[in-house]
Amino acid sequence: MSKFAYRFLLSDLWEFGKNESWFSYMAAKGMHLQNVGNWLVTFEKGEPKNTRYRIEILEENPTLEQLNVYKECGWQLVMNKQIFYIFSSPEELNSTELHTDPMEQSFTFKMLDKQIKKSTTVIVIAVILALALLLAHLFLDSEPYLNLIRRSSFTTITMTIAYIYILCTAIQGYFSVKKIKNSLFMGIPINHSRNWKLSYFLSALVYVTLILWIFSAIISPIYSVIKRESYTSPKAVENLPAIRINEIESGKIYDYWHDLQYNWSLLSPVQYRIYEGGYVEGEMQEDFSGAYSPASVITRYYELAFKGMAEGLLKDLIHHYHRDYRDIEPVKIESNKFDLLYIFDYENIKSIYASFDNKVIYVKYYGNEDLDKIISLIEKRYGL
Amino acid sequence: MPYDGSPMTEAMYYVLLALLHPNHGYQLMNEIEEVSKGRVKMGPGTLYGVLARLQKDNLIIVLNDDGRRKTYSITTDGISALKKEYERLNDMVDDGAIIKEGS
Repeated sequence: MSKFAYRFLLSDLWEFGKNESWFSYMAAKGMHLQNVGNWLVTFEKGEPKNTRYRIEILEENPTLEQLNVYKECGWQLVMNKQIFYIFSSPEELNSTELHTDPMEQSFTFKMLDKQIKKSTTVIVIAVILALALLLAHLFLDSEPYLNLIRRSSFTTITMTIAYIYILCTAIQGYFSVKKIKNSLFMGIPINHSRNWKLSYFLSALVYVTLILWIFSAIISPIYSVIKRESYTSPKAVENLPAIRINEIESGKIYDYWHDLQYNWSLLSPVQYRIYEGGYVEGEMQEDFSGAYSPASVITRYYELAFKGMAEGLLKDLIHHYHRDYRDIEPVKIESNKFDLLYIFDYENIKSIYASFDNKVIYVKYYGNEDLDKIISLIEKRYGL
Repeated sequence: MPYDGSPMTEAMYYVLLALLHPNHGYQLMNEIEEVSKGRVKMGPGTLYGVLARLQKDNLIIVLNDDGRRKTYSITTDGISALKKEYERLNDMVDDGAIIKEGS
């Protein structure tokens, strides 16, 4: 059995009461405070003892004489971390409190107050900058939905949440130090047996979330790379609910190629892109290049985690893929099969942007067949 | 921030009072208990907090530091501050005499 036990830090050390009563609770279970790190608190396993703990702020390193005076008063230094010094005293000694004058104790918070004011200001500025950068990245090309469902979206979302969390804890810390300082100044002593259980639960929740987040931040891009598959055989395309070039074309098609790519992201777990093309036997081209005309169809299909994103994504897709014909906008068509339907029909280019339920589809066809034929094929394929 | 003559905390008052005779840490605590006739039992955290603050405010100085222990003593500034506080407290007690008259 290991000699040491580790626990996550309950809360910031300036929360004297909560930490002290938690350390005492642990000591009564035979786990004696040994060290406090940035994340973890180390306890040494031993006999259960009733021990009082007191946290003290000392701006300057205490002299040996000072520590001896503390010791003679019954208070033994356990450890120190920055300006925080933790002392312990056996319950049965019934030692005089470290601080017998709350107002005097409030003066020890002066430096901490100053430090925390500075660090909070820095954090607030940094977080606002970081958030602005993140959002700018999302909105830079005015395609926020498209950016959100891309592979990096998970990191973007979690980073945003993490930044906001950091911001909130920094501000909360600033106010809680102020509150402790003020209440001491008013002569209200520290409550050394403050309940720590809620804090413990909350901090455990934060740590578990954090671990899960780090874990999934690592896993998510890996998973999306695993899920990202490319195929170039017609067989792979066959099993997908997608319209095929040879379905669209009434003539015989030659030399055709297939390209299929799957993608995965948190907000759009199923995404694929199918590209098929070839040459269709038909009339002589106007430029006499041959009796074959090229035809191709590209389908981009997205299943979204939230239905509410469908319209936004559809608009972004139009914004993104309709670049070359800015002066002719796609036309909105009322449809009883699709929630939204936009079409674009110009010479031999036909584009369809459609959404139904949580699915968004974009089909671009290049060839001589009719747009209506393609729409009805889509309806049939997707069971509408 | 030097001492501005505002009311002293009990701890500050008694430390200054006890330092009318130069003294060092642990002994000082006993001295305070004695001066206050056992009424004020000062914790070491409070004591060292007050000592550091008074030193910054120039109300006390370290008379002797042999590396093992520091001996503190009150300064003339300290004495005049203490006198002023004593007078203030005295006035307060005098003013409070109406409590007795009323009863």
